Amino acid sequence: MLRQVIDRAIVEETPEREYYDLNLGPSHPAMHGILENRVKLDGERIVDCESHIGYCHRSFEKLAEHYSYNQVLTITDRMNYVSAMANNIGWTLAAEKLLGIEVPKRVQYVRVIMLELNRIIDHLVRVGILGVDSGAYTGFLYFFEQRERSYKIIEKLTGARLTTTFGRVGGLDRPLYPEFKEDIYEWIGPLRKVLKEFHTMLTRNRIFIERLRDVSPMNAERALEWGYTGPMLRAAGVEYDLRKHEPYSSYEDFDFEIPLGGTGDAYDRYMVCMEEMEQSIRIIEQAVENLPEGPHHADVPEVYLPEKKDVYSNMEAMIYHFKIIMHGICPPAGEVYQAIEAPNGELGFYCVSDGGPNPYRLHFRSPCLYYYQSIEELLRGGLIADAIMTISSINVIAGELER
Amino acid sequence: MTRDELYDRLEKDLRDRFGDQLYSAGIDYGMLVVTNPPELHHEIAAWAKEHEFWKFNHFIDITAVDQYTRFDTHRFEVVVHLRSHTHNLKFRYKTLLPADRTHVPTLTDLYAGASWSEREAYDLGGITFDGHPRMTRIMNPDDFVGHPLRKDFPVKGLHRGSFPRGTVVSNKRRESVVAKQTKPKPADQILPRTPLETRRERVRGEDGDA
Repeated sequence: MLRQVIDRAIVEETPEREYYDLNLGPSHPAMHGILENRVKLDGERIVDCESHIGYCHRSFEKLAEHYSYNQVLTITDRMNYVSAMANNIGWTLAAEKLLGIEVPKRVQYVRVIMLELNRIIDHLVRVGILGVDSGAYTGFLYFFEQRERSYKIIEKLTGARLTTTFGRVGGLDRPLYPEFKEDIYEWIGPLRKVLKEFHTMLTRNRIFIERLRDVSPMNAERALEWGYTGPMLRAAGVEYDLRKHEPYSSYEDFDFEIPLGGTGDAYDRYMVCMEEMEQSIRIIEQAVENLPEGPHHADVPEVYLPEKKDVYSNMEAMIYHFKIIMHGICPPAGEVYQAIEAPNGELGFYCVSDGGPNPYRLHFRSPCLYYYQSIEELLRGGLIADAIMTISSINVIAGELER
Repeated sequence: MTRDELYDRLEKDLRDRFGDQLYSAGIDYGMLVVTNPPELHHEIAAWAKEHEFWKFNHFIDITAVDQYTRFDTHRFEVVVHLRSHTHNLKFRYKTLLPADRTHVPTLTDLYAGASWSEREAYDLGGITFDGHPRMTRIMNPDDFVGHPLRKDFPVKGLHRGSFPRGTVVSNKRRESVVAKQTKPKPADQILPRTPLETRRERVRGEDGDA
């Protein structure tokens, strides 16, 4: 606060000072995606900033109006490509809410496991790159090894690494592979160790703290007005986690804590993310421990495709197969807002249906957009070196920002 | 209070405050949904934010929906989601715009977070927000023609072929622009001098060598 007052005083005293214009981005190694920030510099201080986005816009909302409910899954893969499964699960939950489907406990638990696994992947990348941007490359490599191991599990489960298209409306696309539980246990052990190593390497590191502390702070009231959610809001000290406040997919069964920050600066965001990973591991352990037996999809033949071998031998199955493929899934007319706690924040799906096989209108409420629109306020008055740390700490992903 | 009781009370409070001006209010898929005329668009948000019991101070979302083929009474809807942090409650209100009207007041004076979503609703849905500090396109280029999320906009787009430089829509206009671009200008005529360059020039003039 004091620093900002001093900065303002300097700027006001010398109005005719020669400012230097600098384009941070659109193509810049320190930008996370194709983001353009035009900053006005007074020495190393940022006097003004103007942000432009749209270089990665692919018009997903328009495309979704021409896709069937299951095809929309492939669009959601490409939104937040760091945690594609979270988007997939969010969309299937929204479609199921619209259709009024209750999926079996086993499916809900598997979804929880995969959501938390993706949260860990997202935070590993986020924190790792925060380290890279502040000059600590080693931690990034440690984390990317763990990320690679997580992708091994995802690859075994879905056959793909980044664009997973996980699950279908009404359940999972296939049953779990037999040694899934062992793989998860095997994955957790080294991950815990690396998290501890990362803590010793960076959390109390003098250089790292000096680079992050008091960089782009945000108070709670202002953060709510900006529409912050997820780790960014929790770093500002507001207890808001959809897993606790509006539980979906059986999150009420698990015991975990919500880490909170105080000032909402970059260091708080880092600490919240580190602690969330620990909590995610706890949730995964509980879910794997208590994983119920049961079918991998709900008993909704008019929505969920029947097994292929049944289609050739069973009359009913063939009829449903034909109906789903030719006519699509037709939910009743209505509109629904379903939000999940994606790794980045509240990922909302506002879907309007007119009773047809495609969504009449689908709007994605992406958390990034709400963080990134405040970038002009966050950067103003700071140093140019802090700008890089700010953009890195808010974890903006262009695919989700612009959709 | 449970969520249902809270919603009942909120519905009652809204009806007490706005009375017959509201078109409807009711629970839909577990969330309170209010529909209202454009005159109330700003007032509902202001009331909800300032209300000492409700305090809907968390901005969630704003978007525009084109209901072109569904209803005769109105075409556009502006949909707002707000959340109360004190009661952990969300509600949605929909402003129904008649066919000849495509503008509503902005919410950026209440919620800073409405800024870019309103620009997105303008860019893709074609709804203008009066009083917005920077009502320009956000996803599409500035010279883009049309609003893609309207139902009369074809999914293939209005242009043919690949996007030319400067994004021109029809082929006729595209040709003229391409012809213009074939004559390159010297770089120093296009780019304004940066402060550093002017400073360098001054130094050069005094020293007499490059």
